[in-house]
Amino acid sequence: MLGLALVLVSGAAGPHAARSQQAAAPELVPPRLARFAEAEMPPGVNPQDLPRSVELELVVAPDGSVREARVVQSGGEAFDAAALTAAQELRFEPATRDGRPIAARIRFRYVFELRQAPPPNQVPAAAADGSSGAQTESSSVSAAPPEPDAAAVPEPPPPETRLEEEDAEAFGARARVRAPPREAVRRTLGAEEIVRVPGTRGDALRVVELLPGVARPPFGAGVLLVRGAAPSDSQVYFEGAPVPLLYHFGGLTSFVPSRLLDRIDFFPGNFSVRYGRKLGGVLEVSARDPATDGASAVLDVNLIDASALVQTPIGAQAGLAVAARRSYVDFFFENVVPGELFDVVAAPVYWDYQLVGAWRPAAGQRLRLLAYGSSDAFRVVFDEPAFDDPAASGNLDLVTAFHRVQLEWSRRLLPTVDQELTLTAGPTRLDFGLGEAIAFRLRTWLLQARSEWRVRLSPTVRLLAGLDMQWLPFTVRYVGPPVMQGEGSGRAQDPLATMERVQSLGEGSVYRPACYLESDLRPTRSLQLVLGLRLDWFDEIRSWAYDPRLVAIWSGLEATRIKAALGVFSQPPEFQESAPQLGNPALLPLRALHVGLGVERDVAEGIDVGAELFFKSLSRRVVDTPPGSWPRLDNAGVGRIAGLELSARVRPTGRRWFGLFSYTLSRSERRDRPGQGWRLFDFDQPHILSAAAVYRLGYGWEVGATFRLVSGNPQTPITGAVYDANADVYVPVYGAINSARAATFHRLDVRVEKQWSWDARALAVYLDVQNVYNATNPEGSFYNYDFSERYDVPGLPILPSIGVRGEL
Amino acid sequence: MIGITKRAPALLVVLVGCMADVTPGSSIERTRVLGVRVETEEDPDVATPAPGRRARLRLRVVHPEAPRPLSWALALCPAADASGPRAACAGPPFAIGLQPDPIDAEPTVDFEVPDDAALGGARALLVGGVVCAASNPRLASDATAPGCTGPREDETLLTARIALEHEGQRNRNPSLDSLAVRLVEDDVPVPARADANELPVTACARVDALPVVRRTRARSTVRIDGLAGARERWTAEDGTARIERWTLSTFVDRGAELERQYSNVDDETAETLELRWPDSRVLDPNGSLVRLHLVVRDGRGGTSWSTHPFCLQP
Repeated sequence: MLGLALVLVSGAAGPHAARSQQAAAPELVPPRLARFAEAEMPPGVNPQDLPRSVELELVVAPDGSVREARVVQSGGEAFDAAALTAAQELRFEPATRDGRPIAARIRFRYVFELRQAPPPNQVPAAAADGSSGAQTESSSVSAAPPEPDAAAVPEPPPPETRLEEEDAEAFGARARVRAPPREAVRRTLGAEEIVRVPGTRGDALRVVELLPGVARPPFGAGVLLVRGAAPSDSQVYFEGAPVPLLYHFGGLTSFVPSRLLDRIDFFPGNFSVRYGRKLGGVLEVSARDPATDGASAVLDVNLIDASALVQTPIGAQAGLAVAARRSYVDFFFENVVPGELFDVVAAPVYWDYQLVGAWRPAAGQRLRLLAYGSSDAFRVVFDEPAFDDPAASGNLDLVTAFHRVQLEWSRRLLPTVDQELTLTAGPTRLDFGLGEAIAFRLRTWLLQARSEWRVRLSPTVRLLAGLDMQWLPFTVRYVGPPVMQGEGSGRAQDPLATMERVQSLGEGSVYRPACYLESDLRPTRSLQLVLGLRLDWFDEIRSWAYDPRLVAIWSGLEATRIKAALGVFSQPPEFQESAPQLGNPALLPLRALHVGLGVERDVAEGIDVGAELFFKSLSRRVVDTPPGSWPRLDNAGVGRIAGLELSARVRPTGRRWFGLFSYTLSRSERRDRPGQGWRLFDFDQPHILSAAAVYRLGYGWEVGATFRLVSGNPQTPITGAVYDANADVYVPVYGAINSARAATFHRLDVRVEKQWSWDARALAVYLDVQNVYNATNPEGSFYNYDFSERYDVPGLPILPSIGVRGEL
Repeated sequence: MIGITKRAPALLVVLVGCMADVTPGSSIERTRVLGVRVETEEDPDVATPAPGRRARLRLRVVHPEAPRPLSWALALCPAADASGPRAACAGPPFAIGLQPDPIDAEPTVDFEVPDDAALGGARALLVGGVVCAASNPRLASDATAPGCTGPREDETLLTARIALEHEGQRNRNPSLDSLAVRLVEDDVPVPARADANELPVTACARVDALPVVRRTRARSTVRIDGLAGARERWTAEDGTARIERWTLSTFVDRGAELERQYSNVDDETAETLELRWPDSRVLDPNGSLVRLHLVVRDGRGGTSWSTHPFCLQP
């Protein structure tokens, strides 16, 4: 099967056009801050005069030193002098062209905010974000302790970074430095990982699967499995609002195009109190601001879908971006799948759209309007029962659709107080039907209001306070088997025809207000303590949750951060588990205790490694009550998860290659009722190894490879079957739950690309081959009618994808 | 939501599995139990015995070749409320049908339904046990852990739920009196025969009144008439009038394959399904016996069956 991709880029030449080029053809890499130098606060400064900023233009030499520095925007004579002096001590990883170090001219801003000098450990350590996903780390460094999340602080857009070679090329990357993460583990993805890693087809969110702690989902499931937690325990956020979908059709492609992304933050555990209602991990996807310096358009056409992105400035301080995508899977489905198998009512179709408008009415203020949505729909009708199950007649349908309108307002209330307000509203539709046996129709609205205040009380004390209100009116119709324990039931092969059927039709609303407070304390120059408390109310179960969390980060050793974290996390039961007609409204919130200990170290220039130990204790898991009991669900389940994550990112300065490596060793167990033994979690994967490397051969050639080796998921063996004469089906007899294991998954993906460039134009031809050596990688088992024969369903076969990408 | 994330890969597996080369359930390749039927002593067409009355349990067992001797151990008990595929007894067994040594007969168990007091409020019975082909049954003293002394493939563990007459409402086993089966392309009617199990599986061309079909094509269409009109009307507990919804199960032997095992019997006057013939090389020159087994369930506990044999010549 071959895929052909053609990307056409058109628009105004100039800085922004070059930015698009940077995202798509990252041969030109801007400088990256390697060592920060504080600026001394000028003596005798009146606090009333703060904050002040000084914008410098620096020439970064090929060796990473600052060759030249000059003031382009003065903050006052004394401040200018202090900034110029400090800038000479800055050190960068130099800009590169095709891996070769070159000189670059950049702009760099010092912001003088406080009287006291910051602790030396304030050196920005996190990978930066950047428009176009560019991997830039420069400018806008504060002389005071940086913002906890500088990206969230509205500031006028800094000028572009330009390279100083014969043919100076504009990056257009808006450079910001993000502060050291307050979370124990925060993994931010940059452009190289997003665009160039083989096997992801350039889809940013697919790269998440290569991060430590992320288990491999079964093919077609498209869920996020984080550190041994159930899929429903983790949440994907788009600009702070939860979305019900990560990938179209269980993994085909993500719901938002990569070119619209600003960054992806992944928190596998011990996350901030800003996030709640989940026990597992958090994936925060952020959209980039539209360009304000030129219009552009991107058209991407391939065999699976077509998408378009248009950006235009509106005046000097505002911009608008609109994107849309639609699949043509329906065309292939209707013309390739045998018609006699079933009647196609609605062939598989997905589409999504995004609108981002941003306006900076004044310094320190930003208004953003986002509208986005996504739909996946698929429906076929079987005239007669199928799948060896007499209950499987009627329709098979799956619809997941959501729409959101979101308004964000960031402003500086006072010199030491910032506020960010986000209002989100939109409907969600979830339909799932399987014959007459199962019908689930949920219509709900998400109405969310979120307000955060960031307060700098002193150089060593910062506060974050927030309100997070959710209101979810809903209507639901359910026909199907009684709601049972989802994970670890070990009954996946039970025929539908033998199941009792219940019905429920209802409407109501779920109200989930929350507030949180987090303090960022720096009792010593090398110690950072983040203490947080989150308070949640889950109206549907009339229950409170109090979640205290603590993160301690010690930076006493050069280039090393040692982290420890402890926190409580709460999560309401799934909707159907607590619905009065279906489940048990007296359930309590699920709880988890996260314990983490880790170390990060920059072992050499461009090489950083990390190790994380984690342990999670789960309580109040929702499990089945003993047969014949009522209600059928309670909170008697517990769990325990322990693991070690090793990671390395290698981007040697001036070299032609980069690499990612991660390995996770873990064990995830559950106990369903007191007195029972421990069993493995459904997706327990003890060993997860990922390695990716990309090498530039020169002359426009680039090769890359990604290898993954992952333990197979646990399986519940079938030891026999009993004939049910009423339904004329065989009911399997199971062995111990999850006492067997599927074969180890292993796969090698390879990508080869050749690129030709002429000025700002580029043409690239690439070959991306997934599963190069065609490993079988069984994804599940299928049985014959009486479970006496077993057939392993092979996973994705070798899948070459040939593409052409052009930029104008 | 409702395990959708787990169902999605399972559906994929099932969809792919449809194309997998596994034995279809409609092909009789070993000794199989195809149905369980209850007949009350007063009226064999009634499937819902009343408390305190006598009834007979009959099992339909078929073989791919010549009949094999059968033994069985079947226990009956009051049924607990069902909440899934694994039904349970509400009390100890009140009757056990045991045939310790294999005999040339289909399993039957005669029993008397306990009275209301002994039933303890149960509105159904549960039958569970084992049928063994050419071996002996095993059953623990408490009527649990059934099994056979022979190989696993000759053992059929089974369970069935028997609805009892409740407040005078009876359910009748489906009537197949007007059932008609015909091979469409050959225009050959294939009537039911009670002795289908005993017919010779080779050289069948000489059997009296047995339809003969010559294999001139790879596939044929089987048309089944006379099912829809026989469905009973009944009144549900909430007082609503309903009509039975039948499920037709179809099976075939001798290496032939059917398009599907299950068909919904609704208002359509006929069911058609495709029959793929076995390779001519495996057929007896004097004709191979092919048996088409039909089992009808009315969704309320009533079951009827018939077997339609014909002789297939290469």
